[in-house]
Amino acid sequence: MSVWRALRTAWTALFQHSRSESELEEELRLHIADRADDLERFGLTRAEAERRARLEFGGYEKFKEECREATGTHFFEILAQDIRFGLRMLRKSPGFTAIALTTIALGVAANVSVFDFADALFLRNVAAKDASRLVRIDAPRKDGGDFFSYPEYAYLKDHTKTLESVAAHYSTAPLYVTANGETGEIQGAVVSANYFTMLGVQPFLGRFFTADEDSVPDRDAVAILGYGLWQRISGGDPKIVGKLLKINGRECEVVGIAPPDFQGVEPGGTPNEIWIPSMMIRTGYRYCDAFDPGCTMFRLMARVAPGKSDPEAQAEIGTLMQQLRQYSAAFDEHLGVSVKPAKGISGDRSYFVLLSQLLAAIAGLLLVVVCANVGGVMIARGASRKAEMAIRLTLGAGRGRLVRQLLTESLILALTGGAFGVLLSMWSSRFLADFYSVDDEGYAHLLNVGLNGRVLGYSIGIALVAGLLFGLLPAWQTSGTDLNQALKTSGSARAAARSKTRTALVTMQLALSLALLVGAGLLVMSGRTLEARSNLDVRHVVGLRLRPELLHYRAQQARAFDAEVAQRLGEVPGVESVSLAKAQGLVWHANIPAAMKLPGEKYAPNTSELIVRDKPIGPNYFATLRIPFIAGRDFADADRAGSPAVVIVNETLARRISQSALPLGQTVILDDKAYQIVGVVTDAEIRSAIDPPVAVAYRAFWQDDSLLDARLCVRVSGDPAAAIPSLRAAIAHVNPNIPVTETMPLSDQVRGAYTDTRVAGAVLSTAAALTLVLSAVGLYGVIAYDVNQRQREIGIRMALGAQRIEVVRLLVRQGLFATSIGVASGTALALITCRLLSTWLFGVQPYDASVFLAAATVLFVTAVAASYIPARRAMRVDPMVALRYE
Amino acid sequence: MSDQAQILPGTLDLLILKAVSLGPLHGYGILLRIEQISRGALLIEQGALYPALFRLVRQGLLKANWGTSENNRRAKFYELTAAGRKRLREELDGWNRLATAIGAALSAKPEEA
Repeated sequence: MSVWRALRTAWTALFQHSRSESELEEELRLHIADRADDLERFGLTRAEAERRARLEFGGYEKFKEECREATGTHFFEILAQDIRFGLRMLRKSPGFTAIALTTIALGVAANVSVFDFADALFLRNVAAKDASRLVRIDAPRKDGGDFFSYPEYAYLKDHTKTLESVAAHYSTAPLYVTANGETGEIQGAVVSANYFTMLGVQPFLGRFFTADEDSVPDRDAVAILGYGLWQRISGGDPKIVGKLLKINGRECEVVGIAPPDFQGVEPGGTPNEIWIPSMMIRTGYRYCDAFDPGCTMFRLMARVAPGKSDPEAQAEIGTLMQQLRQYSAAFDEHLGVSVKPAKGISGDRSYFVLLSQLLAAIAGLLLVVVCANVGGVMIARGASRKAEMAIRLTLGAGRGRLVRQLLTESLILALTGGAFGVLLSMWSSRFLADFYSVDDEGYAHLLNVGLNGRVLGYSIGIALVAGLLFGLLPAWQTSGTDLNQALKTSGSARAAARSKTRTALVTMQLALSLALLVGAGLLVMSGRTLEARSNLDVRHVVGLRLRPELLHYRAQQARAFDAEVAQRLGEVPGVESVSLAKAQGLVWHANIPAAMKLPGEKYAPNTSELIVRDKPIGPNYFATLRIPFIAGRDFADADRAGSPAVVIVNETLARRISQSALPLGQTVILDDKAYQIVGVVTDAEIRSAIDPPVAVAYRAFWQDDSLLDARLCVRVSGDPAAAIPSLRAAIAHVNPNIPVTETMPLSDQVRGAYTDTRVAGAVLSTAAALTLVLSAVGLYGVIAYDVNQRQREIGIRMALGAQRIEVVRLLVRQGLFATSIGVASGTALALITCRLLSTWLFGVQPYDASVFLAAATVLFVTAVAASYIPARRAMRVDPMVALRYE
Repeated sequence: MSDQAQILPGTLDLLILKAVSLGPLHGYGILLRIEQISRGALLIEQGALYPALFRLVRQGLLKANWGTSENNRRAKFYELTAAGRKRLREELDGWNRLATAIGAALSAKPEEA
């Protein structure tokens, strides 16, 4: 049968159902009437003739059913019938329907959001024409980076035969744009001229870069503005094309405007708003000479040539990289090459893979709880539909037919709930993605979540799975109505079986609740201990970054600027203390490794104990961040270039140097230079539970001439966010041209640093709260149902002198029994959860007994409440009424 | 009743095709025609006719149209399609061969075995 014919049959079944049904009726009736006429002609009375005609015709309903079956509309007709009936049943109990739909919507929304999030992270194409042929070329370096230098890019571009075009882009360029007399930091990209053409993007106004503009270093100062930036700085004035803008101190001509929907090629990264050609890389990048073979900052994107495959390209690029090694040792830094489709975020994904797995596991557990919950209620509902099932069985419906009917109801519920879930997920996906909208340096990130075909397909799939999960067991149980028992009013054995199934489902929900509660508890504690145990107080501290290096300031100039800013900020009203540190982060990412030894020792290569974190800081750093001193002194203004080199060590490092005594006054060799230890401070590091303590050597900032850019920490008396404008003004007073970035309360940076723990914590807490409520409702339902079923027994007990309180105790005990089993099995589950969570924990041990205890207590209290409320109703049972009931 | 025979399974379709091959008929008409051509020798459960008719329509061997019956009732008339006519020929051939073969087999004398 062709698809078209199947569709037509289905259409007829669903919408012309009543017509074909009445025609069938008419045809069969005509037969009987004709026959009766004939029989009457043979001399029977009319009544007798009609009776005989019907008798001769045989089983009228049976043949009608066979006719329906024969037309082939049968399947769809039954489906249509089931759907109509199911909708009617759901309309009949709006309370149940509303609660079930809400529950399902929550479960589906959680799963869809996680999928949506993962889809945005891993599967979505970059905004480009024919994006499926775009690839990213990655070559991890021995030092952990994965960028290319310009000479590497040039060599690959000139020699490749498998790639149609290769573009280089440095998409995290902080560009200082001066427009209308104001300077602001804009996230820009430094790109090769073929970047836009390779992507197939068309300019909104003007043009993109020409190949000639990208052929001589530093010659062509041209720029393309993002649509949003153009609107902001000129209100969308088209005359901006051809005008000059200052970018990082260099005058650049605006040649074009990018289309509104184009924000670069790094989904999940910082959206780009301004582009300059790769020959202008020295304007956008200052850390090394940007055309040096060892100076890497570019990522490569390419379009695979027609007829070539990704693996072929990967093999070829690998060979080309090998060839490069003969030219310079600087090219010998890569560990291998990969060419992969340009989908999702670039770079190392392992962290996000881990996070997605965790979120998927949480959402999956939530869905299981949702299904157990709805399934339990459906079983209870099935009990009240015993009579209906019995009648349908008597009328000749098979069990399969009943299961099908009941499953159809479940699927209607699942799909409707799923539809609401999809609506809800639009909000909850945004909620998830928003955690990643700002990074630990305060830069905006853009992760595009939202519905697409894949997400929608997944939603339907997950709703159907849910429908089957919560529908199959109740359908089987409900349809298994024993006729004999159903006709007698008390099918107590079956009721008991039903109650057992429901209790088992509730126990499972309780077990999962415990696991989720423990997980949520651990993550919440993590957040708390993070502050308490880090030995830092960042609550009233503002962090900011001075970047004179971006404007090519010479060392002396830059350091004079840093010093003056630090001094002026100290004079601002409300500022308590000011300090500064090397640009790599104040309390996070203090990760410049240095080799350390004691005088006379030899370096033993590959001994991790000798690697310490080197962190240059200014005086007052410890006071500003409230890091306690153990012994010795802080750096002073006298510790500057020319004075004896000094170092302050943290406790971990002090203990490595000497187990017995504080190593004050001791000399240590750091990267071949001798320093004298003048102080010991407590460990003040934000680290996860599985990271070992880090040995830190704090050097004096002012003793290291090579440091130009600095991060400042400023302790204020009030709200740090409110203090930022006056701090900015004080810096502008010193020099308004120097870029000041990453200005924000330091607590925001710290929060950005453990976003993943916060996401996991928020999601896990929500899921734990939901499952707790659901299992409480489930337990309540079971006990309430039980009270109803056992009225007679309770009546007898009371008639025989049982105290009301004893009856209540009996019922509550039943609830507690289920809870105990739930807690026991939940503990096992929670142990697994803890293992999985250990990466996300800060400062807490994964097997924290207090968290387990607290979670179990919460569960028991909830269970007592959920059992007591319906059990109290049992007290009101009047023995006489209960006994007379039957 | 003893002179009436239950029809063999599968032969009802053939009888229906044969009955309508002589002209469009409604359901009851088909029943009468079958009784007439079998001279009342075949017993059909009357209702069973209809599922068979619906099946044949679905197989494209019959087509059905609403019309007016001889006693002015609205009735559904069945007639053969081209495919139905072809099928009837094939079935008749097959049936005749089978009947001849079975007849020959049953009338075989011991010495021929």
